[in-house]
Amino acid sequence: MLLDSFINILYSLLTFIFEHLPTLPPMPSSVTDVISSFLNTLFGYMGLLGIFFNLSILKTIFYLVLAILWIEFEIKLLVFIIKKIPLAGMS
Amino acid sequence: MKKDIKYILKRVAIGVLIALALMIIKGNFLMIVNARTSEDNLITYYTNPNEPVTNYNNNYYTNFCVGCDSVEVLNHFRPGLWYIIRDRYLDQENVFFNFDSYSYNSIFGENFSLRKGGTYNNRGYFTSLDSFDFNFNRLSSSEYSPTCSTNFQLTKNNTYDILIEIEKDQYSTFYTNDSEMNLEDIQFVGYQKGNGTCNSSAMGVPGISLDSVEWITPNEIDGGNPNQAYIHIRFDTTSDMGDYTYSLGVIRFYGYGDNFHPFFFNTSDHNSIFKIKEFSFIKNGSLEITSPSSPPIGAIPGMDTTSSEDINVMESAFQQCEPLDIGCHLDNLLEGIKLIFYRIGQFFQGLINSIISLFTPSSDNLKIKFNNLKDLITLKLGFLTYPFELLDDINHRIIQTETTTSITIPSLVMPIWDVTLFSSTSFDFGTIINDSRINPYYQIFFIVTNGLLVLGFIKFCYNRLNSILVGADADVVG
Repeated sequence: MLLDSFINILYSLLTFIFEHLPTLPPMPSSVTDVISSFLNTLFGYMGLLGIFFNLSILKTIFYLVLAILWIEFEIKLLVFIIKKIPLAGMS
Repeated sequence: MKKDIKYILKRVAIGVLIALALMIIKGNFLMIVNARTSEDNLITYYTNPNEPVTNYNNNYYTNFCVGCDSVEVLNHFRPGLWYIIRDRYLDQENVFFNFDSYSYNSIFGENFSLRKGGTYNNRGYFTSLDSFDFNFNRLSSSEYSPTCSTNFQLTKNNTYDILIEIEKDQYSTFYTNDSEMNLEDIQFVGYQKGNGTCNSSAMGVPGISLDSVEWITPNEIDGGNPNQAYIHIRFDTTSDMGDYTYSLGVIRFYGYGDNFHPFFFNTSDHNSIFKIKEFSFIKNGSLEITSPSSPPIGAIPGMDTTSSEDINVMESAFQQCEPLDIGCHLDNLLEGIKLIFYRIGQFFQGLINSIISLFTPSSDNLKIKFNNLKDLITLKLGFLTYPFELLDDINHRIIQTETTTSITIPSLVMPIWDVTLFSSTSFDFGTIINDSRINPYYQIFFIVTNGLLVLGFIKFCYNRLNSILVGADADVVG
């Protein structure tokens, strides 16, 4: 309930801000088409990896690697910030 | 010393008073929290803004639709859960929601119905929490017309009592309250004479009068299961002309005289107990939402944290004792202590649930807000949001990637001289790896590569852990 209230306030605030922003045009379709066709080709051949590896394992490991790298980055960022606090005694 | 004791007693008294005040406030507070929890646990759907709204005799109609996809609707709805539909787009008092149950029925043989109306205010919310009560018929189409494998023999000039046990499961919803369900609400018709197939047309002509139909509680039956529901029906064969073999068909409805959907059950013998796997009624079409009656919020079945049934059972354990029957009094005392502990347990359970609900956001609320905000940001920031959309797209593509064994290399033609450097070629690895001579080796290769993949991942984790703990570069440490 508390979090709901907080979310509602945040939502109202962000909605208010974004509603008053000017509307930018979307990405031109010529650009998106090129990227899309490139991705189609790339991921069309990506399935061949399934010959060498179990794709479900590969996908799981891929996301886990991303998560681990992200956590590592966050920890390093946290340590960096803490080191900047003189009272923390880590500088 | 005396002063100290006085001081302590004074503080204790103040503490007790504060605690009492808090308990009183908390009592109200908990009530509110529980109510909100009930509301939050309801599954909320919004009407679709794309559906047209029509005005008919100053009543406004719209179609309720989740993504305008009936299959999706069915996948979302689950029997036994409570749903509330909120409407952001209409600003009228009387709103009809049309349920095209025909299409649902044709997909899965399932149906649902609206039983109650609810009050609906002009701010776009139903004020009654039990506005909708969906009752599902979970039978498949084939079960609508089962073959009567066993029939029972009736003789004329007899009265028959039949007890029907209705098996409950987690999805069942029953109304055993007479005010909710009575003789007009339930009909048992169709006494099919002779062996044959039970179907609605054959069962539609009652040959015997029904004397009574009533819900009875499990306590009234010898060996009644408290978790099941029971119906007792009585009929006689005095008006019938002879001895026949019969099958029974059941129709249950709630006062709306159209679209009866029969539910059939088979009988093994007269005066026997029948078991029905699922028992529900159907009402198709639209239903006006105008009923102002609404029970208190906490009365939603399945939502209450306190089980009134359990308390009733415990309270009924107290005996009426003779004044000198010490054993009986002791029993009552023990029961009283048990009840106190039970209520203390209930209190803390309610308290914990309330605290949890205080800090747990409603997933529906979060989802809707997030989606709305995402749409707004995408609309306003335009091409600036494309990188995020691209990442989302790549993520989806990775998830959806499936193993392919064939590859097609497109032809390459020089555009200037129209010379074909190489023509389109396709190659299928599947023919190689499925070859009986190669496949065993391929399987070993496949296991080894996957093993190496997992080992590589473990090594990666080890290196990252070292990097974090030691602070040195992973390659040096690992």
